[in-house]
Amino acid sequence: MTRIYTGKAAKKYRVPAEVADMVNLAMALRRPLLVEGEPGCGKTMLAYAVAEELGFSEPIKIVVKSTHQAKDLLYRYDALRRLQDAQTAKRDEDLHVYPYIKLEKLGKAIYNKKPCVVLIDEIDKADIDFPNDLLDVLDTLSFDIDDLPDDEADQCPYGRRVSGDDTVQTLVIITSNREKQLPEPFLRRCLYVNLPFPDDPGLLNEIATLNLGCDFSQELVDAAVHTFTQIRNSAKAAEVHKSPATSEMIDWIRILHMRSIDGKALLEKDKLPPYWQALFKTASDIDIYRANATTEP
Amino acid sequence: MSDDAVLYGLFIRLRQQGMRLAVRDYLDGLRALRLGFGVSSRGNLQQLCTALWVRTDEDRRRLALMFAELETPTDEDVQRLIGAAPTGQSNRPTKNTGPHRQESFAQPSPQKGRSEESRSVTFDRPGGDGIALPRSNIRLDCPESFVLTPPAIVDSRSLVVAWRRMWIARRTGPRTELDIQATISTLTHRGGLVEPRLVAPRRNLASLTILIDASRSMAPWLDVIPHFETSLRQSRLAKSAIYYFDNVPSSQLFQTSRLTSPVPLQEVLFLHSGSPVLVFSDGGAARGRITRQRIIGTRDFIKNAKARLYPFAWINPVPRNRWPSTSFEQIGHLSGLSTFELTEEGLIQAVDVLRGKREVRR
Repeated sequence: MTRIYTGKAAKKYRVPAEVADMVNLAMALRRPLLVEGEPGCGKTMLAYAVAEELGFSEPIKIVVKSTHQAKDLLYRYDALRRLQDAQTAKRDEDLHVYPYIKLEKLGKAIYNKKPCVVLIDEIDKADIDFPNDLLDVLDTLSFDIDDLPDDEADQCPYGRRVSGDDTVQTLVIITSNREKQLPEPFLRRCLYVNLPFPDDPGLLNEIATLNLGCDFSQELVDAAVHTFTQIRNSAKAAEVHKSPATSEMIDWIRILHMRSIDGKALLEKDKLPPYWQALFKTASDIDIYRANATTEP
Repeated sequence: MSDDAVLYGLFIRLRQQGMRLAVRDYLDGLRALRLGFGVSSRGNLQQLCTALWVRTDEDRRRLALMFAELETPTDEDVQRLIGAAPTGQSNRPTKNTGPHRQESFAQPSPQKGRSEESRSVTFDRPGGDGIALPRSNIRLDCPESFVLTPPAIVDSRSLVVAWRRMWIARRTGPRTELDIQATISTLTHRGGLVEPRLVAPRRNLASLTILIDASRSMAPWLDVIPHFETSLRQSRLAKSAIYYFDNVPSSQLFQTSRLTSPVPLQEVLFLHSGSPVLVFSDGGAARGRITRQRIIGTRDFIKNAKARLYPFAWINPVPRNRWPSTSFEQIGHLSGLSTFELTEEGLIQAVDVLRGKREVRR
């Protein structure tokens, strides 16, 4: 039974219908989904929301480090332990390789053949060859355990070639911050979706309300969302380095609530709203915004 | 059925415009249509094509432009298109029916009153067995009707790939890596393991010094210069440095691309002696003249530098066919210099010279 993602049923996450369509398309075509977008727009949360709505178990999150090789995500061969055990081995049969092969996160996800979401976070942090090494694995959802000698292939519980199941719904979500350029063959294999900032004020309001809980007054949330949209638009016009995004907005509303700021205080004209600096990430952005905001009539 | 035809037409047209699409992309598009994606509305179809085929901003604009030009076909048009679609040997449209088909399609439009004064529908002449798609000759209102972003000559990634070829691996430094072979032989000799044998890990000892010409004649390639800096950071070289000079490296080099923070040339040669050097300059080829002073100055610099910095390679961003009868041609002849163009192959060849793998006299 194929499940469809609507983008509207998760507890705290909403996406526009186009993005939900792309998620479903990626699952149907069995292609990985490359998600790009501003930092703070909820790229990582998308994987959790999809897993939650479709009833899968927790998404398997793989945080890519700059020293990672593709093999490290699939399996681990504990050569050192085998060497240590070999000293105390009583029989020849104990010197096998297969007990020392353990599957890592991505390998386990492929082997288990259960529907799941795999999240490969910030792939542009890795080495430039890393995405190319992953190409074949993501394409066919199968890999070889190279360290396993051929004669032990049938003794190993995983076998030499670990394959996924074609009929099982698996979604691989890859996020990228565009720090480095990704290789073209990799880009061509993935489906590309850009996660937009929710410009629609109704959607933004809904996201804020869902994330903040019921003890926040609706008046505060409405005023904050309205003011935030204005700040964001003028920040973008002033060309700050990083415009405030969804996560900054939610944190700001929490600060306002903690300091018991009233919704009306935000809507005062000719004054920057309280704690507006919390929306920006660098001192230079704060200066740029302040310079631009005070010149407005 | 008609969606398939539109998809095919889009695919062919995009490929003709230079977008890199493969058969696999088209087949995936067909599968998506069968599964029900992109069929409900034109916007949906555009989204589907964007997600499947678009990877750069320029591609996105091309696709948007193409959709804006695409005339929404009426049912009658669709029926004629389906009828004209090649279904095998029996139904091949020959070239003779091409222009004839154009006339017959042009007729229904005025009768339906669909065409306004500024709109007229033409049909592309099919190439071979292709299906003609209607295309409206409307004036486009979309703001970005021209795609004016030039393709990057060389991007950061190709530079990184080139620098990564410079790899001189030696085991140096503290011993932190397990040497399995030595441990096993100690084990067999002594009959028991007292402690594992360690060895120093392999490190890259390659170094590189880049001298970049930041004068006014290099203005067309101003946006390539920052890529050198960013790519060196990811290059895993043991030691790398960039210096800038103005036209001819004289007694001093500069540490910034704006030609500030001077460093005496002798100091640079001393600091980086033994390192390969790459010069990135037009060498007079951009102006297209022969300037005696420049030739002599450059020749003296090369002679001076080659004593300390070796191997020596020169990358000239001006295309090779513009080198004859300029100062640069003379420079290349005089000093027996290895010169290359600024392309991906030129970069790889230059780096091969710097590795000592190839001696080229051009």
